[in-house]
Amino acid sequence: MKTTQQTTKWGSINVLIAAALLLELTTAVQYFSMRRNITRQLTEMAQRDVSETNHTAELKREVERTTTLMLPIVERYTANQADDSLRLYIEQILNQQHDIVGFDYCHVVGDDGLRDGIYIYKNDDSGKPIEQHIDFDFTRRSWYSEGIKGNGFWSEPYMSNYKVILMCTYSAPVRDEQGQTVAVLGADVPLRELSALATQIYKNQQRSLLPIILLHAIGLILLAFIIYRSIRNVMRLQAVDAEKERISSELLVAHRIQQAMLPKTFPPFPNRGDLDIYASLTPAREVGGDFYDFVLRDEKLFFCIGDVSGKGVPAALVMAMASSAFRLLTEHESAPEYILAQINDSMARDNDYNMFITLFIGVLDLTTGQMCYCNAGHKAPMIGSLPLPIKPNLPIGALSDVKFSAQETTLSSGTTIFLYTDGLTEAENNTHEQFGQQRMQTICTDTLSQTSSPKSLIDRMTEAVHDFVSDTEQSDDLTMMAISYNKMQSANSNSYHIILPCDVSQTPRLAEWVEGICEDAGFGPTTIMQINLAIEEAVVNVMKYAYPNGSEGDVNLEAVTEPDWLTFTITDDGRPFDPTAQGEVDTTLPAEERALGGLGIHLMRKYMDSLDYKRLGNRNILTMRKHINK
Amino acid sequence: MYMKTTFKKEDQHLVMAFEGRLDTAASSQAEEDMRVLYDCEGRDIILDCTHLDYISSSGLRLFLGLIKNARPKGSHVYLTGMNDSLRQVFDETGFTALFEIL
Repeated sequence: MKTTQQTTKWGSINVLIAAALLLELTTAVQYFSMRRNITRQLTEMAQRDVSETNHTAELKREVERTTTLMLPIVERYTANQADDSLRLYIEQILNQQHDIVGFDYCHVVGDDGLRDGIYIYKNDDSGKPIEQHIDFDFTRRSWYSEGIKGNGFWSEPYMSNYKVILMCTYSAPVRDEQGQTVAVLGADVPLRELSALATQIYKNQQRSLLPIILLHAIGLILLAFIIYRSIRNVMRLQAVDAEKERISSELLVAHRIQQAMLPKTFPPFPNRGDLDIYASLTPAREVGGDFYDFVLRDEKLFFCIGDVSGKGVPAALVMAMASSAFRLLTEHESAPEYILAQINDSMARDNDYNMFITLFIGVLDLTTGQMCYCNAGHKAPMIGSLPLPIKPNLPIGALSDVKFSAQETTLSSGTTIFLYTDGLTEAENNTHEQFGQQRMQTICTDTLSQTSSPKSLIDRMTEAVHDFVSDTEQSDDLTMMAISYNKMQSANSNSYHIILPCDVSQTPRLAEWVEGICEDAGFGPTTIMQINLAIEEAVVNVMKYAYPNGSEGDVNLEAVTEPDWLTFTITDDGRPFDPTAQGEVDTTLPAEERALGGLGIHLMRKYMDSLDYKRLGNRNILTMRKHINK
Repeated sequence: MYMKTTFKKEDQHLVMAFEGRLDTAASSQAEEDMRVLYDCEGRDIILDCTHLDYISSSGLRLFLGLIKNARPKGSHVYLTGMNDSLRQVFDETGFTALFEIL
């Protein structure tokens, strides 16, 4: 593409230079030939002038004398109105005269405006006189208008109306006996010499015309070629522009889609006093490979920050894959190392382009402050003013079947976690100095000594980076996320909440939630399993019977731990269903006689200390309690 | 949060080992897996529960279905390696009496 454009550009320049040279050449040739012609003609004319001035004066006198001699005879014929005789006389004179080609005889035009005039001239071939009525307005001719005034008059040369010839007319008035002018007689004298000269000039011009025309023709062809090339270039540019326009509008859409993948409402959990998050992502191009995400589920905050190798669209595609995998996996998985392994397996499987992601995943238990995390080649987040100790691990997508190992730490209340991508520490100023770990750490320390607000920290960091790089172009995506955690001071009771969609595949999620609560309440493993079993049976019953045949709905669970009791409340807005109304199964029957159903309610009764069902409005409410033996 | 079964066909008996949680979510997969045990043709069936952590009524129903199929063919169903918690569930539901627990 680039090479073609280069060739085209140089091609156009060559054509332009050739055209300019040709134009100059044409002008030069034209100039020199014209100059030569004009010089020669001027010389010729000067010579002719000298030799012919005498001849012309002679000719004029001869014409004047002839006309003057004719006048008395013409006046007589006019007075006698002997038109035929007048004509014959004029023809006779014309035959005798060599220098006069024709006579005009016009009556003076009276008030009535009627024109009457004849023109008698020699036929070019035979030399015989021809008579012609003058049909144009001779009063406009100077030989008439001046001729009637009195004395003889020589007109300026003019083109004859009847012959292709340049001539002068000597005119004189024809008077009656009273001396009144009644007509004008004019003698036409051709300027043969002058005509010949004009012809000569034209012929000379013609001789040098051919090369000039040829040069001009070549010039025109070149010009046409240039115009054609220009039009083609313009059209190609328009096509390229349209293509550019299309790509940039698609990139804009891609940018919006990518932005929509990231949580952007801050603070994300305005009702929670224990958690505040702020994040910012500035891609170097329209789309980028950085991402962050966080999900709150079952009192656990799942968060991640990632950086896909490379930039632009390829990185963005991989980023979309990874971030949606994170969303999906955190719906039911809680172990960060497992989530990483899953993303890694799906990424590494068909990774023909060897893209990889550095990714950090943390799972913060908001009730305890315990944070389980796993790192895949990403920069260590800051916990307060110190970097979190991390195992480096391989980045995601590099190799399949990588074992990721998780780490654990407990966050004290008031801790702020700061996560970032290398776009921050590797931001360069115009002297190629990097922003660096040290600056970042200093800002963390300084800011966090004043406030734990995530937004303040990120604003301060953003400002510092902008000041540092000043007007140097951003070379990499820049992403930051800060999470501040304030552990809730637990009173004597804790409450937990989870909503499950009507789908039995949700039971592992449920089990995890129940186990967490039971562990908090201090139950041993066997009891935990039993409570779990009872709750699962209850929830599965709701899914099967309150929402029969795949109808949709949510199952709402709430758990409250008090010093002596753990209470679960299961609420749904499905069909009325009372599990406690089911009859007891006979567990002593032999297998052949045992029914397949009824075991669930049996287990619920066995493993919980109380079971209570209510129907309130459109809701089924089942309360199950277990005594806590400290 | 997973469930895995391993099936082994030996001369005299069919062995299936369970691993993980046999809860409602896992039960449909387990039902598929256990279908091979229905062709027991008089051979004994051993269900290895050493690594089975949890069973819900959906799982118990699969076991009940299996024994109902196996008994008329003259096959015995043995359960091995159950932990105490699991054993309690079997006791509570009367399933201990239905199976031969080793």
